[in-house]
Amino acid sequence: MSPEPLINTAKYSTAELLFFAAGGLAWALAYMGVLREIVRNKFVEIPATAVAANIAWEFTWGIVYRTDLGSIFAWGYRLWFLLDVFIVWGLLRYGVRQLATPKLRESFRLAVVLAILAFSGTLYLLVRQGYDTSTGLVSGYMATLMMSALYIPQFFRERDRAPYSPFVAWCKLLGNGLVIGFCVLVYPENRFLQTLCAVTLLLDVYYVWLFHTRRVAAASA
Amino acid sequence: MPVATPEWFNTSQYPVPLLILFGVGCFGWVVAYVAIVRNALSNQFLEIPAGAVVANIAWEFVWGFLYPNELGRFFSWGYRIWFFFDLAIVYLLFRYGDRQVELPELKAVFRPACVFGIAAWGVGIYFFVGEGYDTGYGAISGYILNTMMSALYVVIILRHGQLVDFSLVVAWSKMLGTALLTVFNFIVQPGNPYLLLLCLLTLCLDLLYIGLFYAIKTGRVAALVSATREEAR
Repeated sequence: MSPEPLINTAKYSTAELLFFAAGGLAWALAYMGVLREIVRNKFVEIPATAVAANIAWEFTWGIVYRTDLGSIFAWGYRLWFLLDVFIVWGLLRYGVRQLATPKLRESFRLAVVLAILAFSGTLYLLVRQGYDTSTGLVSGYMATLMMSALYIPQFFRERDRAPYSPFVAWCKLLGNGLVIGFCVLVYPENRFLQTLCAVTLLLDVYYVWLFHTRRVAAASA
Repeated sequence: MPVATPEWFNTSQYPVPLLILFGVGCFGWVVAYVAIVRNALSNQFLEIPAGAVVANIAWEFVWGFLYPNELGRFFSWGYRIWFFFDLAIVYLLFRYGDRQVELPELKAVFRPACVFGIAAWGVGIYFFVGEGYDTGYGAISGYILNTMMSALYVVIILRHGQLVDFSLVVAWSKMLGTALLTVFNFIVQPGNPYLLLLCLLTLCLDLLYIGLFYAIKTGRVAALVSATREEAR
């Protein structure tokens, strides 16, 4: 048995790997932007449900299963996981603000922990059942689509009270866009994945548009 | 891909008691749908969360009209009946659904968002089945929606809080209907732990919802609910 390559150029072309790597880097930057807001403003901008799904996905694909993109990418998934551990910490500490009621504080933390466990269990079994790709992108885009959808109503609810980051909005769009490029090149026959990608991209573009429209309106007011 | 069967009831693959179990579970959902429509008409508030309505109608369209049902033609017609009931719910969603959201900006985009949601779910479920991810009667896609719906029900009752707008008949019939389908899945799909976990999560959330309903009704969490509403304003 040959050892795992650092980068799997036998299965994936250079262009495909570059798309994925650039997208992954943009996502790592988005996470850092989120962390910066947590430290500066004690605010977690990613919706709580999406944080729970994300950390569960990164645990499933970074620790339990292994991507076949090569060991550098496997460590990249683990880096996402590590960054997300800090985001989860921020969520447990400050995320109750997303709920709009301090009375739910105690149940909020319990709900977050239960949601992480529930997502981890379902994602683990989804992959074991053979429904995912060898890079985890079917389950990954199920979680990402949910995040992109949840961002919009939360932004409407919180935008006047919370410091949403344009840097995160753009990195998220760019990261998704580049990984979607990878999906289009590598899985052109998987229409379900393509649909998830297309809907996620539309929602991300809408969010960035919304973000800038509101900013311009606020500035002129 | 699901395989079409010419029989009304596929008794060669599924024993009659199992088909009856599935049929009774489906009937539980018909009771829930009727109660949802009746309540929405009298309260002018649609209790079923908008996110669940758009996913449901898309699922029923895909499984009622685009793919055959492995359980038999009778069940395809059952799914179509659900679809027609759900059309009434979708109508009510467009009429009263924006009362589920409070911000004027969200109300303004509510209807286009519902149209987008139905289209996105419809295409997504169609290809999910086409990729071979589902069972021959739509259980996996159905339970992905069901888990989401049950979670959203817990959120909406806490956020809205006025029990008069929610129905105990719906709470029980959806829990019992889903529970019977869950038993069916445990018997028919023992080798699919992913589906079985979705079934269990849905059951837990449905029971939590019923528990919350009674807790609000008896006043035990009344302070919590009214605080939620006050803060939301």
